[in-house]
Amino acid sequence: MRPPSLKHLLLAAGILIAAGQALAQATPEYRAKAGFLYNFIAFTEWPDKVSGPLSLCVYGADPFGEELNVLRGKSVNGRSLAIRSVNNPAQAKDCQVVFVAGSAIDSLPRILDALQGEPVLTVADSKGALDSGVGINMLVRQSKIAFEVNLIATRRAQLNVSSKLLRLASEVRQ
Amino acid sequence: MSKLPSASGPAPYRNRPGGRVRLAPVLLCLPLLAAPAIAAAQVVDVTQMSLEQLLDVTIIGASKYEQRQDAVAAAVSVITRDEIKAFGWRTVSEILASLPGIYTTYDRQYTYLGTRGFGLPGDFNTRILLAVNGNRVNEVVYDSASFDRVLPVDIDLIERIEFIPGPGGAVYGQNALFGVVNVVTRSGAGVDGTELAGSYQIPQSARQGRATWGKTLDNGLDVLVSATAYKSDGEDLFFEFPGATEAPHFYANESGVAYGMDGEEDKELFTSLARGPWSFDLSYGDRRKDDPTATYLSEPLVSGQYQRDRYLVTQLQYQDSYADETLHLLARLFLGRHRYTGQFSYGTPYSYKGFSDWQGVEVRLLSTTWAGHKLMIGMEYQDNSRRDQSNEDQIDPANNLLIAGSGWRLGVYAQDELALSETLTATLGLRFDSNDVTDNEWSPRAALIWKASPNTTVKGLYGRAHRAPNAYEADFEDAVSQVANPSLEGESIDTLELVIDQRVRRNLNVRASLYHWNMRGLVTLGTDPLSGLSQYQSGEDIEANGVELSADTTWDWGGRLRGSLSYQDVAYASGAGLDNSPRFLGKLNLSGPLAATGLRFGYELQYTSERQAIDGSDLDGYWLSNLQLSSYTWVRGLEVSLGLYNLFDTRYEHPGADINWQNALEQDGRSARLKLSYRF
Repeated sequence: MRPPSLKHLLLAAGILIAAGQALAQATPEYRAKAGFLYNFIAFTEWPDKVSGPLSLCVYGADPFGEELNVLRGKSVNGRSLAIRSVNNPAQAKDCQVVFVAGSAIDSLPRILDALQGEPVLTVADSKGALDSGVGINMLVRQSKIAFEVNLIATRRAQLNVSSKLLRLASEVRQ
Repeated sequence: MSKLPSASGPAPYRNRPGGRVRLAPVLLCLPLLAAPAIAAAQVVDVTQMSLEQLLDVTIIGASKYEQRQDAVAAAVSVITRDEIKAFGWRTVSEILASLPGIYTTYDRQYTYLGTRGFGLPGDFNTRILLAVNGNRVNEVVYDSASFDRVLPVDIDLIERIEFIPGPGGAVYGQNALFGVVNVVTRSGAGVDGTELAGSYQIPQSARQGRATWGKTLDNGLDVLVSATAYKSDGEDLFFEFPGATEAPHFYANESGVAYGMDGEEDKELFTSLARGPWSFDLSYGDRRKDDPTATYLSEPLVSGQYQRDRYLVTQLQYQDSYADETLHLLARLFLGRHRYTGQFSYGTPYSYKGFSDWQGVEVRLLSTTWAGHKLMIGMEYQDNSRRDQSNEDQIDPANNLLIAGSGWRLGVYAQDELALSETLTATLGLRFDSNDVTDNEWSPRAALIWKASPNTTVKGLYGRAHRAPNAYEADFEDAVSQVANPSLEGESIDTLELVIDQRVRRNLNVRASLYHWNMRGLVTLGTDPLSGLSQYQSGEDIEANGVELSADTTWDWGGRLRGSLSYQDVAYASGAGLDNSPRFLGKLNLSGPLAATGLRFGYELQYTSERQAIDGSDLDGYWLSNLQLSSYTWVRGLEVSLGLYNLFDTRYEHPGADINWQNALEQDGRSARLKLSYRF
């Protein structure tokens, strides 16, 4: 059998990509998720002992790319937002919000263990993360984003989640 | 990763037909196709949007990030960076050795991986596919994968390792007979700054330094650059070289201490770039291991004998989703180079060399357009533009030998994941492979996955994989020790497996896996009836049955325990047992915080039962313990760790191969490594 010419294969690949680009007009998933994160923070109250800027930390390989930059330095309820990435559970304690990326979701039990009793809002976007004890979990349903809230987890973290957030959540566990 | 000794003789020169394609110009053009789309991305300030608006937004997926599309139909294991740090693993082989059914063999040159009872001495990891970020690392002369420091990626740069046991031939083609190992590297965003790391290990005086910089730039470009240097003096061990003083060798020594001949040097460079749907990575490594064993029956106790591997693997990937996230595209261009040098002495200096050049393209489409189906189709073309082997006699060039070759591989595959009911899923896959070496082959895969209850999943799996003989097996001929076998057939493996996953409690998962595999046409060293010389031939069939039991639990205090027990019964069709095939393997990995000290510990215990050496004797089974203590909290950004390897200084041996004088090779005793890593 004669192998196909590499040039033809590359051409085919190029055409596929170009065709795909034309279709890609909706909002990128993680741009929308960045918006959700901002709103989650806006509708959450931390205990009084937590003061100063709010640190939003991404645990694991950052899926947001540049999308989180919009939030950098933004003010929420009078407090400015800092964005960091963390790679071990011990570092996560210094954050007010920890987003556990899908790439690190296997580490979730250890992260939650490390954060036990700490006033930290944990957010994930992986199936089953709510069962594992994450505070808020985002899901994609029919190309739209939905979120579910685990009130047991947020209460343990001494966080007050606004009723508006709970009303719009697709599921509230309590 | 080389060949048998030779002394003289004419070099048969054969060149297989195969087209060479210049990739570089095409590689440069491809990004241009997507440039307009990147420029057109509209800027929306999502912080100005209300929750209600956001809930109504239609999104497209960031498919770039982790599709485990093919991972479902197997008993996949994932090891993350956290765990790698907790146990202080130094090589990929140490990481994988913590998994059920895996054992390693070290001949003081390379580390070989045994899987499910298969680890024949002299097999250069040809039956496992190793990939870095989905990019094949097995080179094209010896087909070998590298799980030691030959792998050009520093352990500290690994985000996670995925191991898919069993035949992966239906998607991955060549080499994926016993499993697929995918090493996923960290991103610039994950490093986010500068990292400096240094370590020192006694008694080998092994020192390692690493500098890494990573960040996502304001323009969205994710960058990671890293360099590593490693140097070890090794140990001065006593070796025997039975038969070395007799005919036909007549060397001076039959035993002695190999002073200063166990050193190792390694340099690695890694870089990755990613922006939007594009990603690029490049790994380069140059590793040299001195040889105290006089491999390839060379002259005992002569210093300056070594084996060196230089590696370059790189790829450009494009991943995106279209049509409401129902269509995912992955397209990649890849390129690899490998240079092997074995420098030996046979009274006079002599070297063996291997030259691998390969490049190609892969395109994969995943569609969820049709309800209840997850359809994947793909094709892969690899141009093996150079697979040369040479022998060089440094005193008398008349004895030089060059066996040049080139070739190609093409694979086309399709897989469908069908939802049969709420609880029942089936996976059907088929790959067609064509190459310049063997007949065309079909590799099917079928799986049934039954979610019997919310806590129980049962998987029934069948798969077949093929391997075409590599250039060394088919082409090498020196008229003195080995003759080529141009009509050598490929080998194939069929595997049946039953996997039961059970969640016992919230924090306790157990898994049982029962398997049967049989290998046909094993490519193995035999004797050519005409010349009486060694020749790779299709050997006896092998049958195996095994069971792997594993459990994983976490506790509220932050501890985690995972353990496994494996039993593997492997035999040739004649009933004879296989060399280097332990019946029992046990693994225990316990990690967690040490209350009140701010320290974390990782303790590892491994049992390997006796293994048969190539002279038919049994090498004792052994228990190994490793302990790692780490602190992340003393100084901000500083990680300090102390690793104790072979904690109880157990003496144990691994089987040698027919290229070794020794029937068994002693392993390292207790060693201690202090490691500091600072991030800022």
